[in-house]
Amino acid sequence: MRATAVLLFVAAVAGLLAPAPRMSTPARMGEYRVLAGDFHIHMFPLDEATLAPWDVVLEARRRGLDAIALMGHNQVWTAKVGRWFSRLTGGPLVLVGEEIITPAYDMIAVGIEQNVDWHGTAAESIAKIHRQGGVAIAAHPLRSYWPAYDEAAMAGLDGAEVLHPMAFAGPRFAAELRQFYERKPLTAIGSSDFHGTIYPGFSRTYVFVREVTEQAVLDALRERRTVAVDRDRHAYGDVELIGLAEANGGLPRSGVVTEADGWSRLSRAAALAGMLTALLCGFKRA
Amino acid sequence: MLSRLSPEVWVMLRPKQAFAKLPVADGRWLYWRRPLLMVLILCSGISLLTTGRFSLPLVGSTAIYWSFLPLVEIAGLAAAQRRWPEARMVDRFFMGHGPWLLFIIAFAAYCSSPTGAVGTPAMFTFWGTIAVAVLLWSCWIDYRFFASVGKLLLHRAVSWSLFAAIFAGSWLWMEAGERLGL
Repeated sequence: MRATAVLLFVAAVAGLLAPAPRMSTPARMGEYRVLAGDFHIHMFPLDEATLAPWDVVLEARRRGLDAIALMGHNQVWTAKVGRWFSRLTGGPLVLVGEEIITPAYDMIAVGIEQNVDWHGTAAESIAKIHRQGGVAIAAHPLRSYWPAYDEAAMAGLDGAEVLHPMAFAGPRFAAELRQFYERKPLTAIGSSDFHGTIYPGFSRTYVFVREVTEQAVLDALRERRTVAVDRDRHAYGDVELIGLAEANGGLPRSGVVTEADGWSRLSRAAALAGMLTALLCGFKRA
Repeated sequence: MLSRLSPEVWVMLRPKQAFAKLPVADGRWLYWRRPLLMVLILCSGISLLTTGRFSLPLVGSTAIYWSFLPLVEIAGLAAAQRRWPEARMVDRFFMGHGPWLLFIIAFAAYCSSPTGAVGTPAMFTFWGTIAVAVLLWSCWIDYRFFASVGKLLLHRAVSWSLFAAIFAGSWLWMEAGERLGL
């Protein structure tokens, strides 16, 4: 166990010395404040995710996110815990949300306080979200979900995830998300759908707000004041805002895997060696 | 060579022989040492997956709520044995978790690397296949531990149901709540 302890100590110290990852977002562009957001983050328990609400909030802050939407699968209480913790600790703006999971479609409800029942059609769910003052976003709308988004649903839908980890998994998925997004003018959303791998903000949405409040973020989402940039620097969203961003040096890309710094690499290697040593040589035979 | 390694290795390779011949351990930490080892490896893996490094605060925090996992395992063990298990039994049972811990280490190593950061369909299939193999391997080891299919099934029914309800129970709770009129 001594070798394990030494390796994990090295891993912990190196982890502590590793610089926080920062994606520099210009604070202001024209009349707007620009916030880095991720509007699809899950938490432990109940949602097949590894981190509790407070750990998600801390990780989102470390990743330089200004606004996040926390959401449970068909429930909202874990998101409320996250919002409470973030307000207590001065973390990012937290919007309470729900990912409405149904056999036919998945939909993100941002800015709600009560559960939206998952038995309704997409149009019915959208109407319920709007009645609570929330914003309805199509979650990873791949081709298999398209039949659920009929004319009535499309008429009420506010936004769609055009950038999602699936978009970086293969060109076919990226094309399907893009085709859905192009069906009608929708709010462009880039989100991580964080469950435990990758990290919150891997794919992100830049929100153009006039003040830094939860309501201002919701208004911006409703009024399509967002931009999301893919790996190839293709920007999705409001054309004027894309132009404004380009005039101000552009916005960071989503889905970019950067080489880790030296401390992080040391920490990772020592941790893996420590874990393996713990398993293979941890407790000797009694 | 094998004598220099932990009993987990012997159990992974020859479970029947290992469970029959391993000497009985004793000590103050016997009840919790292997459950804690499991939590340590799991939470270190979670830290690597999320941050790409070993973050002590994150490992410490996740260890608190992920300790539900060994607890549901012990609950399953108690159900299978029809009594609350004593320290030696818990220690011995957790020796059989080697395949899952090895899987966690391998998965964390891959997914925290630049290559594995973005999952592709081929990678989902690969890790899914590995997980099924680990699941069968783990069943085989636990069958050798219990020496009874019935006990193995009872353990799985109790511990996996509890795990599923806590880790991924949104739908389960919604359905249950609706049917109960809550």
